Amino acid sequence: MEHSFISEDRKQVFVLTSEPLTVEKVTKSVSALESGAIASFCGITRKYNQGKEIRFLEYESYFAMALSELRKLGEEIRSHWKVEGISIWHRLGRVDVGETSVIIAVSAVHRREALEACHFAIDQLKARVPIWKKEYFVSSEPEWRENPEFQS
Amino acid sequence: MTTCCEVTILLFASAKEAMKCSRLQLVVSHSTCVRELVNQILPKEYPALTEFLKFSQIALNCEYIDKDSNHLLQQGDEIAIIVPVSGG
Repeated sequence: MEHSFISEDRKQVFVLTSEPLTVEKVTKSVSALESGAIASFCGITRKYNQGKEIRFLEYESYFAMALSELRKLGEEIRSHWKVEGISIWHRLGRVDVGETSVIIAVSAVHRREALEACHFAIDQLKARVPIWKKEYFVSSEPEWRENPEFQS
Repeated sequence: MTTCCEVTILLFASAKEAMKCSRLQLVVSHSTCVRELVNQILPKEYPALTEFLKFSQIALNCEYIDKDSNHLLQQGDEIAIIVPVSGG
């Protein structure tokens, strides 16, 4: 399963996929000769949450809106920072402990813009992009997580 | 003459599980706004959604919209109940 948006100039790449993610693939999608820096962030499935051992996670999304929110996020980043490429990949379906659930990569001429934009992107993704995860525990019933960044 | 329009309510995650379905079809009058749908019609038609609506956001056709918006619903609109997200 894969839902994606890639802009014509390939400077905005947003992918929701049930396939494993690799940093190489995502950073490659933003590499450009003009860029002197690529900042990346990887979110990994932890083994424990609040003391409970996790077996695996399951992600679902409102695909159309998630891609639309990611595109808006990309535009907001460009209005604040001078960046080259923005690439955000998020897993769907089952993700095992230790696997990567999200990767963000931003390229820019200079490192500061890339680092700040990457930080902004993960904070905003957690606050508003319609993706949900359910935690399956070793010894208790599964639970839907809620990001503290979300504002109802 | 009162005209009506049919809208779709999309459910995800905990709300989807509670309602045991991912979409609801609803016929509302042409002058129904988002606020009426969220505060009156949905809790009345689907009492099990009431608790979810309190801590959710609402999206109209893939865009977040204020729960108190006076925006009028139109035929074919998709209204999503966005329960607290947990991506990342």
